[in-house]
Amino acid sequence: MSDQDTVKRHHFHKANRSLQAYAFFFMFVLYAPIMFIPLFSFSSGLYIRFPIDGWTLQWYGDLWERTAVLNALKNSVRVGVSVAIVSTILGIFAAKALVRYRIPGKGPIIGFILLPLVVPPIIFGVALLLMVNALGIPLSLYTIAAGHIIICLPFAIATLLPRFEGYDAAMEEAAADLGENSWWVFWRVTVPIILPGIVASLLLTFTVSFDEFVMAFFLGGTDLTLPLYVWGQLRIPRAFPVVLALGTLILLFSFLLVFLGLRIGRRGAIKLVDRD
Amino acid sequence: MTQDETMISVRNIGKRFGSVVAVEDACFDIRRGEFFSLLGASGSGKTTVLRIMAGFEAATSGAIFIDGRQMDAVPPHQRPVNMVFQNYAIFPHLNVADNIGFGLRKLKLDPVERRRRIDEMLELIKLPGFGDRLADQLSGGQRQRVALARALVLQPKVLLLDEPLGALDKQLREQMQVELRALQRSIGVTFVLVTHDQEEALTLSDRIAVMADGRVLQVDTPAGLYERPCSRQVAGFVGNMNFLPARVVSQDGGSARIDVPGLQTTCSISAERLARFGSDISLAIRPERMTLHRERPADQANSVSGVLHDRMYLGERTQFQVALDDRGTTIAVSSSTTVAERLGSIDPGAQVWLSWSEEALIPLGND
Amino acid sequence: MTVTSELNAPAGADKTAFAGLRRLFFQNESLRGLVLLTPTLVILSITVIVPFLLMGAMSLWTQIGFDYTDDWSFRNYGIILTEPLYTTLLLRSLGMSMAATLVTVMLAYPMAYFLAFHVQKNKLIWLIIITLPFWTSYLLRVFAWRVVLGYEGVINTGLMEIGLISEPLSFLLYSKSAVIITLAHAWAAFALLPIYVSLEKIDKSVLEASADLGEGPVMRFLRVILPLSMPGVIAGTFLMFIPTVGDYVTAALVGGPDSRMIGNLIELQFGTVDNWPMGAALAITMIISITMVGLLFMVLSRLLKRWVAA
Repeated sequence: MSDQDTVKRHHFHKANRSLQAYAFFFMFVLYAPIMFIPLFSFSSGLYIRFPIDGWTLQWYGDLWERTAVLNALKNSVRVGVSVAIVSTILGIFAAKALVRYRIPGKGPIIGFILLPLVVPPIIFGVALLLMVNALGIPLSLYTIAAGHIIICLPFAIATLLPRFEGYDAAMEEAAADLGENSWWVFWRVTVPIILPGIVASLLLTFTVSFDEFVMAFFLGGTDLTLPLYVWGQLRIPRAFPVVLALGTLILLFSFLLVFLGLRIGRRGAIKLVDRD
Repeated sequence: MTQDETMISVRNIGKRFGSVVAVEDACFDIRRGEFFSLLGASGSGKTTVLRIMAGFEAATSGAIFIDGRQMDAVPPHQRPVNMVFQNYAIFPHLNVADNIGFGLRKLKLDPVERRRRIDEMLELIKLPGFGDRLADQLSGGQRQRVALARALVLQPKVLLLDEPLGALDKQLREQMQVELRALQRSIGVTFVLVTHDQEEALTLSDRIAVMADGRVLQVDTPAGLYERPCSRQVAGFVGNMNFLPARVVSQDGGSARIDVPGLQTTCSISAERLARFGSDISLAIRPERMTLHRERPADQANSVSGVLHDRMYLGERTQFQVALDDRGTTIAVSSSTTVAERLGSIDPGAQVWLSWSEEALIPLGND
Repeated sequence: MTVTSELNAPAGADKTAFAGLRRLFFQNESLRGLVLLTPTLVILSITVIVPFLLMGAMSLWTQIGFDYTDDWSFRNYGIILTEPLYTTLLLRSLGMSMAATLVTVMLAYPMAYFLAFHVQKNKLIWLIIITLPFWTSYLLRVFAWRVVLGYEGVINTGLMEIGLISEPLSFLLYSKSAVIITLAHAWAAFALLPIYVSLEKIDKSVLEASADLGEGPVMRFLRVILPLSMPGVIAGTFLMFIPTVGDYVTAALVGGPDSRMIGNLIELQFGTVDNWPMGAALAITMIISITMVGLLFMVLSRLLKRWVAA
């Protein structure tokens, strides 16, 4: 591996200038391409190119006049909210079961639930499309949501698992001991303690669904979600400025939600990789 | 013991986790108003027995009765017992008052009455005015008191305590022992304490069940356990004990005589006890049950000579290691330091005599 | 108060009477866990297992006109294995994914190393900032590269602006390298996180021990850090390689005719070509070939490990 050269020269405890420089370069490469979307969204020219002739907010104004955009937004939010709620609720149950109970075959079950993180989404999309079609179910926002739940469940569970692992099971036992049945134990103790995990899971699964394209592409009907709308516009070069403006808003919104979700949920998403 | 006196009856309780046997055939009664301890090393099954009483684990076999009622199918929230957890399990999202008042929801008290009961408990645990504190603003000792109050406010028939003092440092632990004992005396509730600390168990309890490897070895008062251990394991677990090889020399009718070569003496044992031990027995004697002399004592039957090996100053007490003449066995003798001082200085290597009364000799099985 | 020992004899009376009830109660403990898992498992069975079985079945059918015959045959697989178009695309997908994975793993390793060993404060913020893009719109991140690499894109017009080139470089967009760069960028977190986790796990005292035993920084890296982080590297390689093989958005947006991938072909079968059985067969072939490459990689890394250890 060629990049060892940069690494291996260094001590493990000393601050290291070249590694630091590399890290900032890495971050730059990571973010730079994405940043061109907001940059050019303010360009008054029809084409994406330097030099930028002038600055405008016109494309953002145009967005408001396109009912298709507003419809797609509405659809995306509807799908995202339902997917977030369903997968978070399922995630709470599953995470609790996996952490608190001795379940035979726990390892394979976790592996199966996390599978959609790795398997290309096109496979799930196509397979689900075949089944939906065989059952004669029309493609709609519902079928998109079904696909999104597969993808969002691993994220919900991975966010919630550390929350359950992070507190003493005796808390729930204490509540039962003080006279509460399972239902009340859940509401009076479990939910308040794992609340940050629940909020994080809702935020993250909503964003994943909101931004998801492949599943929506295969499972979507005539109602478009925002990514599907963007995909359609990408074939029309004249529509680029509006796509850039829309993309900027989507990115801003998603970044905000994910940042909040990751902050609140702490290391859930990172711990997840540890499991694989 | 009549039914009225019995608060908890543990009947042949067994518990397996997969192939691991945690508790085997535990059988004992706990009396009303008693301070009862389950004493054992970690893994002895004591906590499992407590959790079966609370209802967090279901016994694999056997039954538990609390106040005459069979508990097997009763879930934890319907049992007339409350528990103080090992790490107290103070709810982190509630303040002290709401922690204490947690179990009061079902009583549907009006806010004034609820407040009154909580304040009463705060008084009892000597934390008045702490109601608004959050769990993470409390010290270890304070958390322990809140856990106590939270359980006692529901006026349980039995209070279960799972190593409640384990998380505290030594000084605080001793202070809390005194308070816990006084509290139990004043409210008269049956306490069941799980501990691995034999001193704690001896100090606090009316009676103690000693457990090892999932089995209950002996149930007795602290004095009973200490003076009349029923097996070598119990004798070794509670306090210090000398063990000497012994063998049966004669048997007639109701009693038998055993010979203790190390002490050059014999003592008697009831045939019934001997039958329980089998022929492989040893003799136990507490270090403080022997007296050290510079001169040969008058009662020659219950004395033996030896060579002083070592002398250890332990503060209140002084301990001597004495090598017994012929066998090379060493025995520990302990006297109060004031008595030891009266002997004056004895150099290691000097000849000394040991004496005892025959009641101090405890024949025990070797298993 | 009794002072004699109370080793009670077994009571044994109700041993059978409540056995059934007791057993039920006992089972409830693990049963409750399974009950909580059931909704998730049922939903995943309906949305994952059943469709997969269906896909397997359909791949054995044949499309005739607008209809399928359901006489079972491996005809579709035969075509895939013999038609150069299919095999080329399959091999190309695997090759391009491998290239993107290799690039990313090598670029991500130093970054992960930096995070694990040189970031003391605000580690969580660093991790969030690195993972942030990967949670957000995949489509827009790929599109961003079209903006960058396009004929009239950022690089071309930028270089022309400062006078380095006089006319746009046409090879930037719609090429294999464009697809590889975009894939490498879009999936970087999948490779980086496992490497970071494995580096983070390394006990710092092990490093001090090896320094104490007289190893310089170079050997310390080669003999301690690298071997200990290998599980992370392998996990990262898998996590990135597997999903990228099936990618079709990237090739569709920034790829040219020579850089179409198997995902694009599958998409076509369900779109304009409208041959669903063939699409199903292609999807299954893809899964099988990913698995095969994965196994091969695993065997190779085992061998390599043994060889290094020897």
